[in-house]
Parts: sequence; C-alpha cells; structure tokens
Amino acid sequence: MRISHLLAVAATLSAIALTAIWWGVDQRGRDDLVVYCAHDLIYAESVINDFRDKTGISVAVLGDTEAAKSLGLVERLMRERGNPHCDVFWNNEPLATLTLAREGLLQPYQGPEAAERPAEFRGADGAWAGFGVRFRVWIVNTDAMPATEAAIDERLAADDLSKLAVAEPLYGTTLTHYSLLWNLWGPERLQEWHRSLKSRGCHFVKGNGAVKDLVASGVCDFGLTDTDDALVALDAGAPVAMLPVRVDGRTIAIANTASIVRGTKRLSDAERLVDHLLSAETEIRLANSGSGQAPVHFGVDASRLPENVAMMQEWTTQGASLAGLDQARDACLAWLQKEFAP
Amino acid sequence: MTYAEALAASVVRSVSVVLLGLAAAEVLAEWVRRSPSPGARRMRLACLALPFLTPNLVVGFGYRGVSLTLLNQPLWNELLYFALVSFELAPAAAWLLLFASPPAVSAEGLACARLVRCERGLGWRHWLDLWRRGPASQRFAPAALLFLLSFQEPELASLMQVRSWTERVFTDHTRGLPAVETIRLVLWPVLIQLAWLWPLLRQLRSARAWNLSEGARGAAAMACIRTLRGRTVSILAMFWTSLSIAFVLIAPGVHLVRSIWHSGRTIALQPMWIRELGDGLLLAVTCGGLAWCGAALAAAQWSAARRPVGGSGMRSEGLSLLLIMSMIPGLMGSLAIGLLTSATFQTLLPGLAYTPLPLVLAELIWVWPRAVVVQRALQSRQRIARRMLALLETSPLKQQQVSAIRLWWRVFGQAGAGGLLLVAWWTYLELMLPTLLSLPGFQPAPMLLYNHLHYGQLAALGVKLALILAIPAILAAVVGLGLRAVGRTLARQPAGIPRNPGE
Repeated sequence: MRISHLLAVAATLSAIALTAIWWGVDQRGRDDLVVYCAHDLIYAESVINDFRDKTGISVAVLGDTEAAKSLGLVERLMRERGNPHCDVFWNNEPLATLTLAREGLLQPYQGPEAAERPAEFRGADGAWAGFGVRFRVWIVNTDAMPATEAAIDERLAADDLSKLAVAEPLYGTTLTHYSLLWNLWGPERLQEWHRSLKSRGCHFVKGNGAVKDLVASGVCDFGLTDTDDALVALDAGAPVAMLPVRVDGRTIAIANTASIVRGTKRLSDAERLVDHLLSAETEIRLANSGSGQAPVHFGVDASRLPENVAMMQEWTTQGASLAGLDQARDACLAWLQKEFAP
Repeated sequence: MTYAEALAASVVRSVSVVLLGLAAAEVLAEWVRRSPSPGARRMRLACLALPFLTPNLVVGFGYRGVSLTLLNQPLWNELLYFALVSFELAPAAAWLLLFASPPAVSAEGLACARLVRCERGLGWRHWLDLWRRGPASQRFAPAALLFLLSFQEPELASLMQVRSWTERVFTDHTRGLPAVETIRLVLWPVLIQLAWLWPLLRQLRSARAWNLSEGARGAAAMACIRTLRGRTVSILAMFWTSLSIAFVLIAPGVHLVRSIWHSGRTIALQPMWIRELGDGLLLAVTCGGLAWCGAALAAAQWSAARRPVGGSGMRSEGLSLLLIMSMIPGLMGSLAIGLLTSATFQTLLPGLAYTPLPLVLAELIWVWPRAVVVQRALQSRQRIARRMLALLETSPLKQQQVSAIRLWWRVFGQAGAGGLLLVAWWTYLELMLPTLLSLPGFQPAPMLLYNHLHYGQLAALGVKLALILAIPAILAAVVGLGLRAVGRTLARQPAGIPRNPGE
C-alpha cells in the first residue's frame, strides 16, 4: 500500500471519529434548558448545579467573557431574534435587559419569587426581576488619602486628577453609571463633567478590574469601580477602602437580572429556573460568594450574610431608580463613542 | 484616537518590529548555523522555539500589572510591548532565514559589482537592483512574517492597553454594527496585510532546504566560532535568547507558578473543567487538522501546476491568486470573522446556526492563512525528497518500499506533525471566536480565562492556565514518542539504500 493511501485511510478514520464526537457535542444541549449567563461562571455554576440537583432538569450554560464585553450575550440575543436558542437570560446588569425588554425579546413572567423584592428591582410588566446587587463605589487607597466623602470631594475639586482612575464608560457598569448621570444631570452637565475630568488628567482605563489594581497598588489614589472588584482587593489585604457613590444622595445599585426569552419552547422549566434564581437561598449563596452581592429578597436572614455584604444592604434601600435608563444609555453611548473612538 | 491613528500606530510598531526582529533574526540564524554539533543545534532551535510558542495570554497575564504601573509613562509601556513582541517573533524570522533560497546575486557577485563600481561607476538604480536580487531577496519573507504576526496580535495589546487597530475595531463595535460597516472597518488592515502576504508566499515558493553542509560543521564550525565574528555572533545571540526567555517565559511563568502555589480551592468549585479542557482540545484538533490537510492539498495542487512537465504557468498563477483570495477573510481579525460568520448563519442558514459548524468554519477561516504559510515553508524543504520518494514507492523491491516509508517519516512525517501541532496550538489558544460562536454547553477552557483575570481570581487562572498548557503538551509528547517509536521500528528494518538518503 502506498504512503498516500495509508494517509488517506488515517485521515478518513480520524474524520469519522471527529464527526462522531462533534455529533455528540451537537446533541449535548438539544434537550437541555439553555441559559445565557453573563454573571461570572465561577460563581454562577454552583447556583445552576444546585437547580439541577433539586429539579433533575438538565441545563446547558453559555457564559459571557470579559474578552467580548458588551459584544457577548446581549448582542447574540439580538442576533437570534426570531430564531431564539436561549430559554433563560441571567444578566449581570439591568440596562441591557431593559433594552431587550423594550425590543420585545423577553417573555413576561410574574412568579411568586419576583414579588418578594422592592418594586425598583423588577420590571413593571414582569419581563425581568433583579437579584444579587453590586454597587458603584469609590475605591480609595488608605495609605494615600482618608476614605471619607469630604476627602474625595476635595480631591475632585483639585486641578490635578492624575491620581484618579475610571474605567472607560463604553461598557458595563461604568456605562450604567454614566447613563444614570445623563438622565439625572442632563447631557450638557455630564459632558462638561467628563471633559473636566479628562482635561485635569484623570485616567480612563480598560475595565473596573484595572481601576481596582491601580488603586490597590498605589499608582492611583482613588477611582470609581464596583463592589465586587473592591471586595477582591479587600480580601487580598490591599490598603483600600470603599465608599458608595451617591448621586443626589442616592446610591447606584446594579442588580443581576433573570428573564425568560420570548419564544422559548421550555416555558415551564424556564419559569422554575427563574424562581430558583430569585429565591432567598440563591441570594444568600451569591452574598457569600467571592463577588459579595447584596440580596434584595425580603425573606433573607441578615445573620447569614458576611459583614461586608450586610453593610451594603442599607445602600440597597437608597438606590436611584434605573427606570427609562435604557434610552438614556443609547444616547449616552452614541456620545461616548465619539469621545473615545472618533 | 481616530481609527486612522490606531491603524498608523499598528503599522509603525510592526515596521519597527520588522527592523529590530530582522536584525536579531540574522544573528540567531547564524548562531544556529554555527552550531558545533547536531545536539547543540537542536538545543539552540529549542531555545528559539520557546518564546515563539509561549501563549500571549500567559505573557499578558504576567505583564498586565506592570503595564498598569506604567500608566503615567505610556511610552515605556509601548516600548515594553514592542520588546515583548520582538522577542516572541524574531525566532520565527530566524527559522525562515535558515532555509531561505540562495539569492540570484551571491555575495561574490556583489563583491565583483563593487569592484566594477570602483572602476566604471555603477548607477544607484543598478546597485539597488543588485541589492534587491541579492541580500534583500532572502530577507523579505522573514520581514513579511514579522510584520504580519505583529500586526495581527490582539491579546497582548489588549491586556497591556496599547494602541492598536484590533483594540479600536472592538471599541467601534460596542453599540453593534451592521455587517457592511464591519467589512468597511477591516478593509484597510486587510489591504495592508495583503501587500506583505503576496510576496511572502512567492518567496516561500522558491525556498529550499537548509543543508547542514552549507553551514559550518564540526572542526570548521569550531574554527568559525573562534573568530572574532563568530564570538560576537554567539554573545549577541545568547544575550538575545536569554532576554527573550527571561521576559517572555520566565517572568510570566514565575507569576503563574506563584498563583498556582496559593490555589486549589477554585478547581473544586468547577467540576466542569475537564469537559472544558476536552472541548478546547476537540476544537483545536478538528480545526487544526482540517486547515492543515486543506493547506497540504492546496500546496500539492500548486506544486503539480508548477511542474516543468505537464504544468502550466497560467494555471500556477491562477491557483496562487485563488489561494491568496481564500486567505483574505482570515486577515480580518477574529472579532470581525466571528461577527460576520454569526450574521451569515443567522440570516442565510438559520437551520445551521445552532450547530458547531459556524464555530468550526470561523476558526478555519482564522487559522487558514497561518496554515498555508507554515505548509508552504515546510514544503519548500521537501521538493527533492518528494522525487526520491516517488521513485522508491513505485520500486518493485520490498526493501526500497520500506525505505520510502522511512524517508517519508524523516522528511515529511516529522515536519508535518510539527506543523500540524503548531497550527492546532494557535487554534487552541484563540479566545474571541468561541466567545462569539460557541454552543451552550460547549465552552473551550481557554475562553473562560478572561473572566478569571477580570475578577482577579489569579489562583483559579493560574491553575487553569497550567492545566490548559500542560495537558496538550503532555498529549503531544505522548503522541510524539509513539510516532518516534514507530519511526525507529521502521528504521531498524533492512533496506536497500543508505540510512540518510540525502534529504
């Protein structure tokens, strides 16, 4: 037999074996409840596994990655409009969920657990409900300055802001923050504020994680980030402290959201998963995870929360309303894109 | 920063990488040529391969913190990035220099021209033409490779926050863009790369094997090494190689090992990691294998068309053009490839949108240009052996047929396995396409690493990275040892021709 024939046989056998394995992969999620999950899988997987164990329903999860930022699951749901593959969408911030609801891509569901939270953490039509909240915070290097609101105000009024770090507001929770300011302050005031920060040397970096690292390492004295990032620095023993960002006296609370995708063929299972995500038990699990998210469920026993998260619960009741923010987000993002990517 | 500025920054950086990388590659190639023994040559080649094969995610992971501390010194950050990319890519250029075809105008020819110039005064145009057909002709392929690989680099640029067109394309897509806009954005980068790719392929077509006898060997090599030039080359090459390994491998590696040391708990939290690892390997083997086989077939077609007997110049040129056109989509960058593949399947082939096909196809498109270049570079070494192999295979003597298998393994099998592993390795470490196109329940392990970075879960990242890098390496080693054993068994069989048939 010639070598080329031997190679052809080897290639054919390999092709058959690989096709069989890929067929198995293709079948893997066919009968499963499909969940698109933007929350970090390292924490989300235990919640999903818990659901699997309790109900016996098999679940296929598709996670988002920081590599894709906003181009991940939300854009994918938009692209899949009319041909949905996902049953439940677990988002890690509410603005994109509001946009999906506005576009009619979410199926309303008023389950028993959704009622167990303040009205600002659920959509009026039942298209989504919030749980496990993060907050926008000032992260302060305590070796460089006191962690007080007065000290931050003083530094913000100074001519030199080269020791301040903020994530580029094109993505994620910083975009939510900017959108809220767009709504509350109006575009002119926000734009003036942003340009003032920029002209005084404020660093706009890639992501809240980078802000946390800059402040924790002492390269910057303070910055704007989220509680989950700040908690990582605190857990690592970095000389940092966090203070909630307040806009007109209100905190910026950013909840995870659970929603059912319109057109799902597994409505009943999807509803059970949403109820599971919104349950007090899941809230306590997330509060005790590394991301330290504050519960909003009325039935959560505060004694089961870690100290840091218990402190945040008070901020939950002071959160600014995010209603209508999805439209502000679109306008704000259009402006920001011209600022950062002219 | 405008898109044009980002593009210009990428071009300027890549041209700088070409200049520094080429100078380094010259020294490194000569260092390998002057190896005193085959063992020393293998060791030197291994030292060169290490920085080139180190995944950028590992390097980025190691330097992300350093980059942040250089926030107020962006020029230093840029220099650090430039140095890292040069360290990684110079070995690839050296590898191409090692088997570049001899120039049409030799060094002796140039010396004669210099004498003539002194006597009669040669014009600068004539001189330029001699230089183009002389020393420059050998250096174009390495220069093009340096440019293309540095221009396409997305991960390290993103993690170190330097200006580049890949990062800027990402920012432009934050609000979502229609497919036409995506194509418009990547048009210029594709054209810029094409300007380098076309001559690179032409150059590789005429490359040939580097023969040890052309380099210094044995006593001659030792004599060479003892010369001032030989000593200078050795010192410079060892200095560069040590710096490369220290910066690209050891510093990030220490960071990685330190993370692993403090971990363990996170793996228990993730019972799915074995499946994720399997998914990553499956995707790499499938797409790497398909791309490699496709590139081999394309190369065979091209060779057939160029044969002096039965080949046609027009057909050869047509095939070249077709091959170049097939590589254009792969030059768009992984983000654009992913978005366009997704849009195509969602609108034109919705029935196939939720199968593995879009992901496999997109990975193939992405890795195809690399597979073709590697295949072409290897094929150029095999032309003479291919003729010998054809004769041995068709021989009526059993011993000669066995020799054919042995020759095939030594010249084609080993090189092919290496090339296939390299292409699969690139596919394995590609992050963006699985992020955009993977199926629910199918999560290649490398794709999830960014999340660990984001949440500062350095321990989990370290463990995963270690597993992600170690397991394919162990598998490759096991497969390699198995193949080597087969090759040795074949070599032990009696044959009618000498053991080294002059490959």
